Amino acid sequence: MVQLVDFSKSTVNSFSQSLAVPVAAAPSSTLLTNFGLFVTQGGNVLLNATIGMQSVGGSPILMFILARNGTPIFTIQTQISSAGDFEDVTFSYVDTNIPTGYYSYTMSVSLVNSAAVNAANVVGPADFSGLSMG
Amino acid sequence: MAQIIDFGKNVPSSFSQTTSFSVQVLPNSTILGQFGLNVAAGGSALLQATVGLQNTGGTPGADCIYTIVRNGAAIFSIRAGGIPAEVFDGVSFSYMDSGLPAGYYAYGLTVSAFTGAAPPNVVGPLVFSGMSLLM
Repeated sequence: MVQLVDFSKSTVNSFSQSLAVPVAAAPSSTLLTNFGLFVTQGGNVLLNATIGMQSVGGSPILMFILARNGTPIFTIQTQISSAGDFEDVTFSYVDTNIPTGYYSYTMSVSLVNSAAVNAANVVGPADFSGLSMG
Repeated sequence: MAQIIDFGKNVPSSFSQTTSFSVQVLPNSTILGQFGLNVAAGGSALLQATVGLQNTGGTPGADCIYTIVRNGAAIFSIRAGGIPAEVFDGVSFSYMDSGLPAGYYAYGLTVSAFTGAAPPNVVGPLVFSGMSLLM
């Protein structure tokens, strides 16, 4: 039987419009959340992320990056269509083939189109959780 | 070893275009789902929701705010942008609730449309679930 080995989460804020964190333009990125998780050899890690965004200028293209011990393991891009628009961003990923150990998982976001005309804020919520199964 | 303590769900609709009801405009709200969940002391609850929408009212479409409540108190909210007329949209989010005293909790999901634009219809699917975890 599959067993739950560990779980963890990191929540910056759980309500909409409870913060306003500007997104850094690539090649920089804005670190949103991180947590530690114990993983066993041959196990699976189910990662779930939800972020509330708002365009504060133009039509920003955002790249969300999940990393394990600093190495990117997953990216996804989304575009907010026009200034002032709100966007619910949610994604999940299953991380596999990891040696046994305690890992740091991080979620960050980067603005990938022109920062001269595009801008976005993280307005909340920002929630990132992981389930380690073995 | 971590354990799954309980699992609760409310899945009134699994397919697109299998239901149709309007999202109420603020300050009113529409209940999308609710379930009971047993949570252990110091435990966590991983909550997930997926809602299928269509704007059948016109452009511009109203923004919607989704709220998760635990025993009637709001614990999470997220605002999603409006959608143009006749356009479909799938909205999902997840949240891990934690730091709870042991007990049996009522989790609910509600949505409200902002004023001044066309509120969307919920057209399915409609899925709200919670997994109670303990280290």
